[in-house]
Amino acid sequence: MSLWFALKDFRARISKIRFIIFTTAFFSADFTFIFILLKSVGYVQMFAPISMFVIVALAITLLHLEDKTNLNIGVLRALGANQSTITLIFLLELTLVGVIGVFTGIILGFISVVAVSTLTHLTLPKAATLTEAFSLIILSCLMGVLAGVVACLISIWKKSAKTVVETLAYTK
Amino acid sequence: MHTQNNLAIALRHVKKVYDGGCKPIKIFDDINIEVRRGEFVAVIGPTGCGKTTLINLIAGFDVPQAGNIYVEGVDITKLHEREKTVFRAKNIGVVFQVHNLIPTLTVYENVELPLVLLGVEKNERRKRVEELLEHMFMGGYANRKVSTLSVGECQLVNLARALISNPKILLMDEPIEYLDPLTTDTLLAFLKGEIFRKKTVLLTTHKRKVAKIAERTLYLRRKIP
Repeated sequence: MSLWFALKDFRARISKIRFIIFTTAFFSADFTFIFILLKSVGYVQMFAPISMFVIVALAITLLHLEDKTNLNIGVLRALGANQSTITLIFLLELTLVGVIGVFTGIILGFISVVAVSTLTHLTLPKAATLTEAFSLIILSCLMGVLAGVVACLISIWKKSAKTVVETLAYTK
Repeated sequence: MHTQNNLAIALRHVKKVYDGGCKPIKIFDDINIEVRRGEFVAVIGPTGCGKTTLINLIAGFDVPQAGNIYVEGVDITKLHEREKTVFRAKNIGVVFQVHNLIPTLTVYENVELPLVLLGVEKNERRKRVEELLEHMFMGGYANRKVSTLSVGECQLVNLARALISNPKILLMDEPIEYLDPLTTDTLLAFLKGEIFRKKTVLLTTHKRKVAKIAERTLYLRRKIP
């Protein structure tokens, strides 16, 4: 059931989801681009503050997916969906959106770095260093997604724990 | 008083008070209502007398401060939220006053939703939804988004969604409140039809014309604060 509704909702809210994927990809791409460039010039001290910024930015971006969900939650509860089913719907949606956005961004960021290095004759780090850099980038981005997903799910769980009357009262 | 076995709905000494900010708003102090199985009951009363609260309490959407609510012999005030949700999905269909359809889904998907929640198989779902929509002269609307429908059309979809799981009890909260006379007549004719036979129906309204189609009418008075 959760997957059925998540996919329908995914399709139905496509404009919002497209915007969130685009923003998530934008942050991830920028992060990949900047970090690999810093790694190329051997200046890696900036990694920690930049990764913190990206984690917060990704989490805030994903929080938009949770906005205006009271009607859906209220109706689903009224028709017989329990708290776990509703939370699972949003877990699926958030994970799909977050992972698609992050990996698209990382790929685009890497393509941009390769393009810039070709144009400016900048030497990219060696394969081993690059692998290490990608591990850190993926880890940071996924931490951002995780933070966003957890924050959203706490909110969804709280909303779906209310009575149907209370949930629907906040939709108008 | 009827035996418990004959009753589809029974409210015993129910009290409901809302937090009204500076002072609590007492909706029901000690209300007792009985509805027999298969009976069509209309609840009539002015705005603010507690008609919607009554529907919400029977459907388990809201909880009373005191008293017991028996639906099909089960005291729903004693059920855990999860059990109440399952019980509602299997036994109760609700037609909301404000239709509460999911605007991003199509008519077909909105009507299909209760069956998905009940775990009905896909082919069976399609058969039942198509049959019901045809029966309600809404076959041509199946693929339309509900955001493109008129209020009257939304209310018919709302009714179809409540009926699709074939519930024993149908609760209707002022179903014709926002309808034009023609759609009202269509809906009233439908309520008298075959599909409603053997179902227990509790309908709230403040229009006597609607109450006339019921077998019994209950009157709710507004308490002057």
